[in-house]
This record gives sequence, C-alpha cells and structure tokens, in this order.
Amino acid sequence: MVLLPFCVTAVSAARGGISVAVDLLWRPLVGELLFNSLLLIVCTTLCCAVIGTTAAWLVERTDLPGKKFFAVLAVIPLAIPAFITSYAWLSLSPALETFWGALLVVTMSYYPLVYLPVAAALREMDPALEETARVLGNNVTAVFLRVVLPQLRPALLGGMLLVALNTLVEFGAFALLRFRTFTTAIYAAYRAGFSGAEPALLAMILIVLCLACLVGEHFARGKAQYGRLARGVRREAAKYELGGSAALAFIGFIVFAVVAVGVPLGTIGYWLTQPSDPATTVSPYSLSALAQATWASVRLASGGAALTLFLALPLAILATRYENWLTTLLERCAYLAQGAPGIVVALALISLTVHSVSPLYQSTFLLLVAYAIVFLPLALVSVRAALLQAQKQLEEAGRSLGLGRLSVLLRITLPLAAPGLGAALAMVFIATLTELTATLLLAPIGTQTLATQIWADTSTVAFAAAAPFAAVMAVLSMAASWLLARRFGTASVFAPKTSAGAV
Amino acid sequence: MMAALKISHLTKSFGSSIVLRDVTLQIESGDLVAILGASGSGKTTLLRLIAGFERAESGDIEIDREVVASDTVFKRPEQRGIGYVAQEGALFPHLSVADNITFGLSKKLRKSRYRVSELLTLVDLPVTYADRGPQALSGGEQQRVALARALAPNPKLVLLDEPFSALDAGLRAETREAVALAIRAAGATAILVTHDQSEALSMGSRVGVLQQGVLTQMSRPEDLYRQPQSAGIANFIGDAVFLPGIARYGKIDCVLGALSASDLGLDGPVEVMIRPEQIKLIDEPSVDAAEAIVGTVVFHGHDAIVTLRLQNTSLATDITARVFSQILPKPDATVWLKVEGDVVAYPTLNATTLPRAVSALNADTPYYGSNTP
Repeated sequence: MVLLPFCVTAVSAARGGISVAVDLLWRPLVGELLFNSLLLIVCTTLCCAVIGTTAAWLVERTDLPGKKFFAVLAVIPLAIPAFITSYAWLSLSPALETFWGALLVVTMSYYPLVYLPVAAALREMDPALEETARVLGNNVTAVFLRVVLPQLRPALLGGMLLVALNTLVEFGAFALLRFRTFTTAIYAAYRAGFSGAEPALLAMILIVLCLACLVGEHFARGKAQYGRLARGVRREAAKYELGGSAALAFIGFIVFAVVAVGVPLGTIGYWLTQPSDPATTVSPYSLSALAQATWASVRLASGGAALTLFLALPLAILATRYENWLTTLLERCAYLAQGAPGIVVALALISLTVHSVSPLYQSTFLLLVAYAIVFLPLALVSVRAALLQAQKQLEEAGRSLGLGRLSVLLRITLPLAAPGLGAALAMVFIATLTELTATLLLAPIGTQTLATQIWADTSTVAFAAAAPFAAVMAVLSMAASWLLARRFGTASVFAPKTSAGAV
Repeated sequence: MMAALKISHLTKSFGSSIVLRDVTLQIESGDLVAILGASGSGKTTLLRLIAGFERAESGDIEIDREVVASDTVFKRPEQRGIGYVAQEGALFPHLSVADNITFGLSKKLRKSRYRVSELLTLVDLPVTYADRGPQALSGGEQQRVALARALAPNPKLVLLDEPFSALDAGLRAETREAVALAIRAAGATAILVTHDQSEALSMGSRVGVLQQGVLTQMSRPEDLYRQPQSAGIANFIGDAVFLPGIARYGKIDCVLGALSASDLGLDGPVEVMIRPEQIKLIDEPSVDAAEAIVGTVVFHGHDAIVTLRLQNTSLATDITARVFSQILPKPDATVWLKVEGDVVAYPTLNATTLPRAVSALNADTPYYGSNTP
C-alpha cells in the first residue's frame, strides 16, 4: 500500500513516453524549480543548524536565566504548522513573498528539528570529555570546536537532513508566499488540468530528492553514531557561567522567541480582534462554519489516527517479534513513505481512483487512506518503541505459564505497550489535524476542515476570516502536544516525531 | 624534595552541606599519593578543586610553587598545567588513539605525532594501537590511553579520579600495576582518589584518609594499616577485631592475653585493635593462649575467615581470624588463640558501648586473667 504512490506516479510519468518526458523535464521551469528548491534547502538547513545548535547549547550548557521557559518555547513551533506561520508573516507584510520570506518562515517552523536532537545529544554527552579537554589546555571555544561539535555531528546532520526533507515536501507555506518549488508546481500543474504526465514527472524528481535525504539521514544516524565509551552513572554536565554575556544571550533569546512563536500567535490574535476589517472578509465568518470545520478536522484526524495505528500495529509486531528478512523489508518499505510527500500520495490516489474505482474518488475513506500512508512512518516509530518496552522475557514468562500467543499479546504485550500506543495515536492525530496538502486535494466536496478553510481564506487575502480557524487549530494542536509531552515526557514525544519526519 | 602540590586550609561546601573542611596537605615531587575515602567523603571534590572545575570557599592551592587558587587568584583549568584521568577514561570517541594522546599538544606537535609511540610503550600498550579508535579498546586499555594522554604535555601534576573503579577484578589489578609503573617511569607527581582500600594501600607511596570532608590521617601505607590513629580509621582501612583491655606497664591485658603494643603512651581502660591475620590458631593448649570454639569457616581461596567464640569469658562478641587456607579448622572444634605482632590501643571513649566487658575488666575478675603476669 505504501509503495502504491511510487508505482502509480512512476506509471503515469512513463505513460507519455520518453520523448515527452525529456521535453517536459528539459525546460527552464524545471531548472528554476531545482534552483529555487536547492538554494532554499541549503540556506534553511544552515540557518536551522546555527539557530538550533546555539539555542540547544544555551539551554543545556549555560546558566542562562529562564532557560526552562526557553526550552519549552523552543519546541512550540513544532505544534504550529508552517502554513499558519506563513499566513501570519504574510499578513504582516506582503513584501515577504520572496526568497527571504520563504527562508524566514521555514527556518522558524523547522529549527526545532535540529534543536531537539542536538539538545538530547548535549544532555547525553559525558561531561568528563569536556573537563579533560579543558585540563589539556583548551578554553571554552576550543573545547566546543574540538570536542563538543564533533560529538554533535550525528545529531546535527540527522536534524539538518530532516529540515531539508521537510522543506522539500512543504506545500502550504510556499504556496501562500507564492514561492515556486516542486510541490507548488505539481499542484499548479494538476489544477491546470495538464496530462497526468507533467505532475507525475515533477513528482518523480521530488521523490528522488526526498529519498536522497532519507538515505543521507539513515547514514548520518547509523554510521556516524559514536557509541559512548563510558557506561557508568554520570554527573550532570557542568554549566558554563555566561557572566556578562548572559544579558545579551537573554535578549537574543527573547527576540528569537518573539520571531518564532510571538509573531504567528500574535498575528492570529490580532486578526481575531478585527473581524470586520473591510479588505479582508470574503465569506462572512460565522460560528457555525467554525464549529463545522473544527468538527470535520477532529473527525478526520481521529479517523486518520485510528486507521494509521491499525495498520502500524501489526507491522510493528511483525518487525519486533518475528524478525526476519521479509518483515524487515516490510518495515523498511513503510519507512519509505517519508519519501512520498502528501501531494504525491494524494495525486497518486486520485489518478488511481478516477480511472478504476471511481466511487472511492473524493470519499472520506480515500482521504483517510492518504493520511495513513503519509503518517505510517511516524506511527511506526513510536509503536515499535512501545512494543520494545514490553520485554521479550516477560512474554516468555507468559508462555511458560501456559498462555498462547494471542493471550500473551492481549494480556501482556498490549497492556505494557498501551502508553506508547496512546502517544502514537496522539502524534498522528496532531499531524493529521495540521495536514493541508492531501486534505486539500482529497477532501470530499462540501467538507471544509480548519486547514482548508485557512487555506481558502488566506489565498484570497482574507486574513481576518482565516484567523478564527487558525486560532482553533493552533490551540488544538498545542494543547494536544502539551498533553502528550506532560503525559509521556518531552523526549519520548518529540524524538520519534523528529526521526520520522513530519510531513 | 620540593612540594609539587601544597594545599592549605581548603574548605568547600555545596549549599548548606560542607564537603571539605580545612584540608591541608602537601605532596612532594615524584610522589604518588592516594586519597582514600568512602563515597560522599569529598575526595572527588578535592580533585575537582585542584583541577579548577570548582572553586573553594577558602584556602589556597599551590601547584609547583605557583598559586592557582586563593582568595584573590583563580586559574582556569586550562592554565594549570595538570593531567587528569577521569573515572572511565573519557577518551574522545571521534579521535584515534594517537589523536587522543596528542590532544593537549600544539598543532605542530599533533601533526608529527609527538611521542605517541614512546607514551604507548610507557603505558605498556602495543605501538600499533595508535591508529585504532577508542571503541576498539577494552576498558583497561582505554584507561592506559587516558593516562598517556594526560602525561603527553608533561604535566606538573597528574590527577586520577577513581580510574579503575569501572574495570572488573582481573583487569583492575593489571591496569593498576601498569599505571603505577608508567607514572613512576615518567617521574610524574600524581594524586589518586579511590574508595578501594587495597588500591590505595598498594599504589600510594603515601595514603591520606578523607572522612566526611576531613583529612584524618596521612601516612605511609604500612603505617596507616598498622598504626591507624583512630578506631574509625582502623575499621575503614581493613578488617579489625576490637576488644576491651587495660593498659599497664607497657602491655595491654585483654582476653587474648598480655599483648605488646607499639607507642603505648597511656594507662587504664583501652580498646585494643587486632588485625584478624594477627590471630593464630593452635591445636593444643598453651600457657598464654585463650581457648575458643570454632564457629563458621568461610573459605576464600588464598585464605579463610574463621569466627571464634571465646571460652572462659563473659565477652559476648565473636572474634574473627584470618588463617592460611592450607590448614583449616573444623567447625565446633576447640582451638587456642595467640596474637602475633604489635597491636594498637585506643583510649576507651565511651564506656557504655561495651558495658559488660568493661565492667568485667574493671572488676579484674579471673575470666581472662589467667594470662596476666
């Protein structure tokens, strides 16, 4: 099922024949798209790396005042979808419809993907390493460059590649900023009703780029991992005294927090208080429309989360309990879905159903299937981790007490894994709630969700009209994330999310 | 001999708890001094103060006649010219063995792999290890590389923070020996902190005992073991048997007879400290031997621990003896005990701790008096 989008896209791309394909690909447009995308990815990745690492170091390794607060603040952007950040900035100034605007928006949305793994790596690092380096004659800067940075490399690289992947597949933010990348071009080509070949060909390029990121991430994570040499209990890492520069760092962090979190939330708040702004409202917003959209969003997100978990659970059980080449292959395939952006999955499902099973076209079920494909990797990572919580020895003890396989699963494995499964469910719920692309393309006619409402209003510059929907979505998403973090701890919530790569 | 390290009146507390109290010590150049303390005694804090990872409330630290910490001076760790071997080596996992060893040297010396082979040989590792990653080494080998790294810049002082505690028994003895040899061969001055008595006694040319932040005794290892300054230290350094006794005429009377003690400067009720290996078991009665019944015999291979219930005495406590394992007594057998060598006597501080025995002594009853001259 996961491989379906890849196959369908490849088939539609090939249908036109090679000469058509060459013609379509060998155009200035494709060159421009490649240049835009790659330049933006490189810049975003570097900005995120610098911001994420600096923030992580300040929070984890210094006596910065208020750092607990900053630690929470630094991850909030993960709960705000990029297209809402984009909407917020755009409503401040239309002048942001440039490369720089795009850079600003995606950097502010995705730097937590670097911050989280780097902060975790800093916490994990043995403080004796830094102390030893100090004693051997290095000052704080030299220690950072010669010891800390090399240790951070796997986390940093992994985070940077996730940023690159997310930037590649981001659609809503760029569409609003009228910044042309592959995703927006695919969407435009599809809307313009061209032959199925053009969007499919562009999608193929996008898939290849995504897979390249995935492979890179796999290597950054796997190969470059420096196992810790020491295994004993460690002291907590020493905190550097910032001294005079504390004030500077504090102010820097405040400014940064305002840009990353304050602007999106503040702008939404501002527009909420301007409901009758003349230049804005296309459809007069009503409470009933808001309630309907909220209900539709929650309903779809719940359904998507349930279906995704339903698919992920057997897959994870197979992969963790009956490990062999076949189950490993199955699991790997599921992770591949990260390389299929929402827009590609949606288009593949459309072309499949339009041609063969038309009753499914624009049905709620098809949308849920799209969600399930897109978010399967996200669910799989945490379901897998949850199942590993239930140790094999416990199951063996159950078997020795006379339980069959099924009873062991029902009476031992699932109860032990339940909290992790809950976390997976909540994560997919949040991701689905804030998903835009697939929803936009596949939502049944007449169904408006929060995301599609924001999209419709914002793309017609009706900022005030979009505000209530954006507010509800931001509140829902942040509340769900907060509950998740409180219940399961920040590490377990965000670590799997970052490694699966939200779409 | 000049002092490589001089610490005077060093005091340090974390919050309201005082970790080090007025510690004063001096280490001569070329010495390897072991600081022995239980966990929480402040030994690691002492090392971290010397290294410059922490600041003391008061007191001075001088390394090689240069003040590195006082009320007015504080040198940062990188300015102190010391070597440091952490608990688990803390080798940089991203660098090869050679790059680890040369880490503290200038860029030029790093490039030329200055003294890498020499140092590897010094810590008794094959020169071919230079290009390996630290992951490929065993725990003991990692510790040796960590020592080579600490010695590479020719430090004035090497600090060893429980460097063998993470190793298993066999590896520990071997690594200890290699490290002690390398430090002596390099002519380095070193200070080792540990909670392991045998490690401190076997490695240190002098051993300091740190108890609850106070340096209670600093002596040569054999003096520390044979002449501990208090019953508490005696118990901490090794197994000890304590018996009530009375000091008179330069001898100590107790249930095991009239024992000789070195430096006995007191008369009256005392507590006698006897090491279990000083107690010998004999098969036949003898004039100055006390009769006892064997309780349990615990075999340890190189020796055995025997618990003994004394006869003809009101003393309720069992005493233990460490005996050569070749000839073991049978449980419930009757044996006679003799004490060899000098014992140590401490003035009885608190008569209520051993009420019956002490009152028996004071009454000078014949329970144990058969051997009194």
